[in-house]
Amino acid sequence: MKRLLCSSVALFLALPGFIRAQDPNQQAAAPVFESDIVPLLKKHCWKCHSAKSRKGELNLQTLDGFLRGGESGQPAIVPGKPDESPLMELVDSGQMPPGNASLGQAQRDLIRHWITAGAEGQHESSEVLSKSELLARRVHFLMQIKCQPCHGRAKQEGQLDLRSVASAIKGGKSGPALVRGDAGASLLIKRVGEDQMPPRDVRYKLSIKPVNETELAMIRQWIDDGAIDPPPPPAVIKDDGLLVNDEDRQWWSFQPPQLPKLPSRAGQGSNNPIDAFLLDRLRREGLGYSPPAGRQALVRRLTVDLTGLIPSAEETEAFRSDPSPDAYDRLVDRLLSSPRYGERWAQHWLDASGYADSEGSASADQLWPLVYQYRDYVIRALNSDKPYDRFLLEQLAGDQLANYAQLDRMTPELRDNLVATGYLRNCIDPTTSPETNFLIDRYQVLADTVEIVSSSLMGLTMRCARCHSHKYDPIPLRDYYRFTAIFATSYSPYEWVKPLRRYVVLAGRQDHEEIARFNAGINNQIHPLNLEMIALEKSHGEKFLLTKLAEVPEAERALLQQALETDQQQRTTDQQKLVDDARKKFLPDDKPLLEKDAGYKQARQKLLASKAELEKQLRSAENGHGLSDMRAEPDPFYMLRRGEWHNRGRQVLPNVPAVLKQEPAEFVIQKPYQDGTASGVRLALARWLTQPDHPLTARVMVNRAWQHFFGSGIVDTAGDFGHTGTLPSHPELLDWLAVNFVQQGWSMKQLHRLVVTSEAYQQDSRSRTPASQLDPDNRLLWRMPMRRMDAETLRDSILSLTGQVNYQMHGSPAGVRSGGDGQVLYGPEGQGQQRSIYLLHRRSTPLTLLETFDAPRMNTNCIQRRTSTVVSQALLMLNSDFSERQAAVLAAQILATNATTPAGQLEAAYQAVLGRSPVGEENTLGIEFLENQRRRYEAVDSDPALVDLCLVLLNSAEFLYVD
Amino acid sequence: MTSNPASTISRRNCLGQMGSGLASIALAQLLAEQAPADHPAREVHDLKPRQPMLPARATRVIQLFMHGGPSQMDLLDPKPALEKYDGKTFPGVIDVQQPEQAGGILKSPFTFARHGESGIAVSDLMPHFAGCVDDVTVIRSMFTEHINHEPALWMIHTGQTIPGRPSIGSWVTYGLGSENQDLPAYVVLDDPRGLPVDGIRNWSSGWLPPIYQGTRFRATGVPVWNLNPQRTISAELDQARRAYLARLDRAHRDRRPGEAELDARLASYQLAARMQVSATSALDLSEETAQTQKLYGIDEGTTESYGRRCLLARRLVERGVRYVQVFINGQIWDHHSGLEKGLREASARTDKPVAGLLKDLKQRGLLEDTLVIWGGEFGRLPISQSKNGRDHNRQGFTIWMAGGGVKAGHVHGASDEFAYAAVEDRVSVPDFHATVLHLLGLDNRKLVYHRNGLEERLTGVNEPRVVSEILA
Repeated sequence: MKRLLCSSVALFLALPGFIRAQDPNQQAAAPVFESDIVPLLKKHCWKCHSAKSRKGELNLQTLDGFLRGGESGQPAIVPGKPDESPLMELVDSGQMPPGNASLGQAQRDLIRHWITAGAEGQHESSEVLSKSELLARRVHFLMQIKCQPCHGRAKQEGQLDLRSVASAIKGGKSGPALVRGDAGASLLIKRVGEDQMPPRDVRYKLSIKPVNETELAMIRQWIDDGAIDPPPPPAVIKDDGLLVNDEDRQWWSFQPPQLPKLPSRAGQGSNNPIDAFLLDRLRREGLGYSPPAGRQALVRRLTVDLTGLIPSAEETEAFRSDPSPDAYDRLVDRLLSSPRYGERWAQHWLDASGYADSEGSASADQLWPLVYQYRDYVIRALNSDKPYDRFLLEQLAGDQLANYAQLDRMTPELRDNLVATGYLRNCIDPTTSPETNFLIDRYQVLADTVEIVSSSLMGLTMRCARCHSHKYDPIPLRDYYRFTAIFATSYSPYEWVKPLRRYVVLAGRQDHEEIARFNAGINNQIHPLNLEMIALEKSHGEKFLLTKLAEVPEAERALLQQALETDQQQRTTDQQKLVDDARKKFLPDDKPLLEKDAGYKQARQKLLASKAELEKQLRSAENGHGLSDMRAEPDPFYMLRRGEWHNRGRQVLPNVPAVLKQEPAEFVIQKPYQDGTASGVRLALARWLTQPDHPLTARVMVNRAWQHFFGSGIVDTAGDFGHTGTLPSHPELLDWLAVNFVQQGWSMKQLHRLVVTSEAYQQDSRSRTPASQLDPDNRLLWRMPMRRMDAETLRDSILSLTGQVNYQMHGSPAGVRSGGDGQVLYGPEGQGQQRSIYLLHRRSTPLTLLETFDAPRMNTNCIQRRTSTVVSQALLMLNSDFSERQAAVLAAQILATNATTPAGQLEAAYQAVLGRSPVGEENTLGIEFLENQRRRYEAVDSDPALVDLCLVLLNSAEFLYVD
Repeated sequence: MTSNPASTISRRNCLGQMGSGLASIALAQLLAEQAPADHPAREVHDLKPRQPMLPARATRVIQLFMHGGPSQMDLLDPKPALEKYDGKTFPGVIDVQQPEQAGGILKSPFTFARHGESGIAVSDLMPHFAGCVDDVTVIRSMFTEHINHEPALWMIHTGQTIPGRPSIGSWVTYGLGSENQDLPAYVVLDDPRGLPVDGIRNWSSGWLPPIYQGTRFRATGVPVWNLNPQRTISAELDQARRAYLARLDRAHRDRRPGEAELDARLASYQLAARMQVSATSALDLSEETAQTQKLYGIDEGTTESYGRRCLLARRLVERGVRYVQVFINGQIWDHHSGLEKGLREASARTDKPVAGLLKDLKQRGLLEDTLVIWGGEFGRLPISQSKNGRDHNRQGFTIWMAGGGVKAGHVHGASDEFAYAAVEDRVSVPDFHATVLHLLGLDNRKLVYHRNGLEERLTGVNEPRVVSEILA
């Protein structure tokens, strides 16, 4: 195509008449962009694809926009070839323009005609690269990936640097790597073509794929064409906010929450604003709350929700018989301050943040030994009611809250800040193995991190925007990569750090000095032992050499003997040489001594033992599982067209999605310290997210808390507040809770207290008409929903009611083991009886018991658990070793009490499992079962019938479900 | 873990309404939970049989998974050029995993002959299968995305090279349910000698509900985890426990009218009891004649174990199980060295049972609507590794399919002259998946699951083609 530079000429040429006159061979009415196509575009396309509203990154306002294409990186048209032009296909098939606005036949013909005739029109001055420039850029990128790891910034193997054409021509040890214009004579082509470069063994180690035929041809072509330098990289995409407009920001969850007025509630008992909103809504449908739940149900519900355990029989009885009016409030206080509270709510948080103890890929599924530090941090933070904004700040940027390089002392607080960043290390990272450490794998780590952050903190599904602008939510491709760039400051795809080398050091300068001082003291004790060892070997060695004189040539024998018998200090140089030579010959190492000289062996072992004892005392600075920045000035980061790692687009700067910013400048990056490696980018994210009026942060958190109490959130899709999510059932309540949460200093415990002291939460759980017909899903909360215990609550509660639970907190996870049949079990017996949160969470081997009851597999993270009812649950609860064992322990405990009658034993079993006495028919049923079963067993020295009774109660729906 | 039939999951999957003025939305509208009309979201997950979307050619699948990467040029894709250039340097670039061990071109130590009316060439390693070639379609132009076992396994089982996605068996049972409510819909027969690489994730349902997950049946002993009580007790004692539990649970349910989940739970306990009987009987090979057992090689030590699983596979599909996967321990087809010996062993263990299965299915009329798939996760290289082995190859490999609507006695596609890369009528893994789904009456574009705002498919965002050339 002609490239027209002079605008006056262009204008002139652009007149259709002129072209017709100049080129008689051209079809009669070859259309031209400006005059023929633009009017049509204006009407049908520019609403979405103009310079301003570049949907899918496509700007159809200029001819170059057509040729550049959209975010797929492919041109929208191929001049002269309408059938190869994606735009033509979209238009012809009626997909574009969308809706009912498809173009008429005449209009489609006009566009086709225009393309066929060469797509004439006026170009902008600088946008489109020539073919050879494009080729140079592609070759450069290829070499960056496949050559520069050994011939680039980090090292220059064979003194060759392939970062620029000049340095490639200069070459290395073997001469110039390339000859301009002559691929055949270029060493580069020879080495690559013969599969010598990149070397096969290095390829494996550095995760580089071989140069394939197409790529080789491309390099050849580039050299033959003169090996031009690549054009300068395209300019950084400006944060012009063009792709997102104020209309997009109108979506309810993108607007900051406003404190709504409380509905008036004359004549109601509750002062709790939650009830004001819920009852107001219910009344408008002619409904109201269910009656209050009984105390039995209430204490069970509250204890499970706040601590993840059922109450003991004693706790149940204490609450049931407490007549004081503040009995419930005191119960709430007690449970909120129990250490079990932090363990329970930490599990919810770990679900959302994708916690696991292993890397997650490849069959090895390597364990990362320090991940538990993050789990412990979360438990501590929740137990101490760390304000949620601070909680997020530490997890997103705890490494930038102090100048760690200059730190004198590591304190528990600073330590927590660092291990808090373990939040950003929860995703699957398989890059330890060279087989899964390619760029594609590294970008996947970034993508998973973005998914965890966006779904758990922002209630957004950004994943779709990785390959194309989000179809439903206003998140363009560039915003996705801007957001990703925030994390690339620590996860730089081109300068990757493998997972186990990624850690933060939990020590300050004085700590280091102290350690060094201490170690010096120990080393001072080790040193004499080393000397002693040398002396020992020497003296025994020389004695040994005396026994070898017979093997020495006669000429030297006497001399050597003399030398050996002379004290070392007194020997002449010649004498010493004789001794040394003999040593080399007969005693190259101390193996012969160890075999022949028992005295030596013994003395040596003693010395080694003392040395090992001392070495054990040597200290090193503790490592933390966390994240830190690569450097204060982050590497440039690029969009990936179609999400493909090799399809690099323009550079983007770290930023947050434009649709969530009320002011363009509200995301501000500032380096927190002059020195050190902190870039301040994640810090900026944390500060932005925890602004009091952030549209999502508080809403998302209060909604998830709500979900954990009521089974589903006010927004049912707790991980998706966007257009594909559900709308809030009570938008004003959600906003009130969010604003109140912030006003109460982001206190989670206050929020939880508010919820559980509402009348709504204390309702009975039974269904009733007509409410169940009007609102079968109970979205309006006319009753408390009945819920099944989750996996951890089930296991922990059973262990607690049989007294087997070990309440030891924190530390390395308790191991799991494989049962003979492939089930994953905890134990062995008597071990691993900590609460489930402290068990090893290896992604590939989840505990069978927990997985069967819907504990999530951590592929990324889990915002909402599912509750399934599958037959494997029934089989496990009835027949597994776990159930059998726990039932047997319980039966033995009952027998150990003075409950000797069937009635007494039934009472004891009911109290232990269900926290109540059997009533009515339950008495006769239970006693009959016990007696019949005993008769059938005819056991003498054991009571399997009582075990059966306990097993049945542990299997009962009443135990498994929480009213 | 195991997951099983006739279980339900309620899913409040709402694709939200757009708009504003939220506070005033009427209750009815709030509860309407509209799903887009073209992709109805399933509200309840169960394993009831469902109508296929298209006319189905197959109603069930037996997948004989040949883990490790069977060597195409030594089994089903003969290449004279290998003999001609034996020991020479491979012309051109070759993607090797362990380069330090790589050598020149390696000829096949086996001889090929044409068989049957179709004249399909099979090496002398598989004499029994050679007698079945007129019933199969051999695809010699498969290729995949990754050169390592795990990602290649994820690719062939779940459609992508990343872990955590649902396997094809899960997708099929999600789409079609099961014809037997007393057995799991998707059964995995793994080798008692050990799991394949990546273990139970090979049949995971990923983020699909767990009822679509593969259930392991062990070929000997108790077929399902926790199928029988921990203590050996009489049926009467066991029955009494169940009866007592059911009494308590029914009373509990009666006090809570309208809780569908409690009914589902009662049903799951009933199924547990039924499965104890039906799973045990499905696995009772003593019901088979000596002649049948012999056909599968159960009477011989080498073939006993795999033969048993092949016969079990037939008994399961006969009972209406939708998807059966037969595994063999470790990576018996992964011959980085000692290729000749290794291939002889692997073939000896599987050839007769596989042929026995094909013959048995055919004589019982089951082959017509049972799709049998044989193949691994990738192929092997034409050059040597450690002198007498072959390294992994993603550029080309061979699989075959039989029954269930595929052509009989047909070869599709071709690899280059060294059997390195698929060149003619190439079939990608997504193409293969789309074709299997198509044979079962499922459209890969329409078999979707809504998750996190995405429409997930087995074939992902690829636009695969159904390999119509192999359809009978």
